[in-house]
Amino acid sequence: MNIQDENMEWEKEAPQLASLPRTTPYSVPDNYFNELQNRINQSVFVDGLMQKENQGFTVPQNYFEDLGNQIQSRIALEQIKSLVNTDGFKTPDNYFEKLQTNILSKTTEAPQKSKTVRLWGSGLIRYASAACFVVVTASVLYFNQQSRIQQTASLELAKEQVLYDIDESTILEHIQESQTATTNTVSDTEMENYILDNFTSTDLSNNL
Amino acid sequence: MKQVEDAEILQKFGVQKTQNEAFNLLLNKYQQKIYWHIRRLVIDHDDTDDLVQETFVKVWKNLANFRSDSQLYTWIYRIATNESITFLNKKKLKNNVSLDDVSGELAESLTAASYFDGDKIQKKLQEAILTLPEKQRIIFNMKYFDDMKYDEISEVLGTTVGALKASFHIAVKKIESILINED
Repeated sequence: MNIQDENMEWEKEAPQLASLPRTTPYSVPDNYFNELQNRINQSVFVDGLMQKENQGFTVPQNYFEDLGNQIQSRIALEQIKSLVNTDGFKTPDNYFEKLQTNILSKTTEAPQKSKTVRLWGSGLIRYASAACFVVVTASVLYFNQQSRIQQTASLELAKEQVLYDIDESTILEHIQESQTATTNTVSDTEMENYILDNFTSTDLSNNL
Repeated sequence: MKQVEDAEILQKFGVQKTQNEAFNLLLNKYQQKIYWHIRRLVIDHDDTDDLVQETFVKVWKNLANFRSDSQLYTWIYRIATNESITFLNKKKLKNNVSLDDVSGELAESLTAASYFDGDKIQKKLQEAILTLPEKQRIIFNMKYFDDMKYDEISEVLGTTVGALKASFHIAVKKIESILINED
């Protein structure tokens, strides 16, 4: 279908539209199209330079596409902040000036209000502890003495048992020997003289 | 000035010595068409100026890779259309407005534009066009003002010819009713 046939199709249906001149009612600055070619060539040249300059640097993907939106968002945020500089909450007058004083006053009063109980302050405790000490000491001494008596008694019993087990004749011989030993105490010098007086060297060597 | 064929432009661009010459020939041939195509979408001259330059910078960077499975000028139109749509989408995000509201904003810039020199009926037509959804507006502009064939518009937008016909038909009926009702 050629262009004329295509146009005839709608021109019949829209005669008002078909009757209007098919021109765009916009104008351009003087000499615009004469200069446009040079300006496009300059843009191409500049773009080529930028491509070369950017070879050493990279930016994140879609950076420049998103940059405009990010800047707009930042501006909008700043505008909102300038319009609403508080979060809507209020405090009583001079609140922050008094705050420090209030905190300090509460922290210094705390020790006075708290009750301290001294361990050795009460007389009852003192007397009770002294009494306990005396009782314990006495108990230790008493039981210690008792254990000594018991040990002594048990020792005596042990001795008696041993003596009971020994024969009487052995005991008598021991007693006699001890008596003799106490009456016949001879010095060494006297012993030597006795041996020399009564025994010859031959007798001594035979006995050795 | 005699219009150079697209094939010649592409052939010269393929040779490094004649690359700049080829690009200037391309600018001579298409800069105004592309300018008006973008201007009808974004309305404001300064915005259009920026987008035209961005479009042709992209054309320069990618022309060496252009495959002749589409026509050169539909390929340039596609770049220009995409740049314009991206710009309008950014405008919506920036102003936190919906798709319909940005058309209202464009209508306001239409009346405030210092480079609007149409009469009352032309202003009415432009306002009516701005009431169309974005894609429908692009289709209408290319068919009505640029007199492009549906096949060519299909190459630019990647939409089927049938869908384009239906969309254009709806747009024409809507604008016609606005023009008649406001008379």
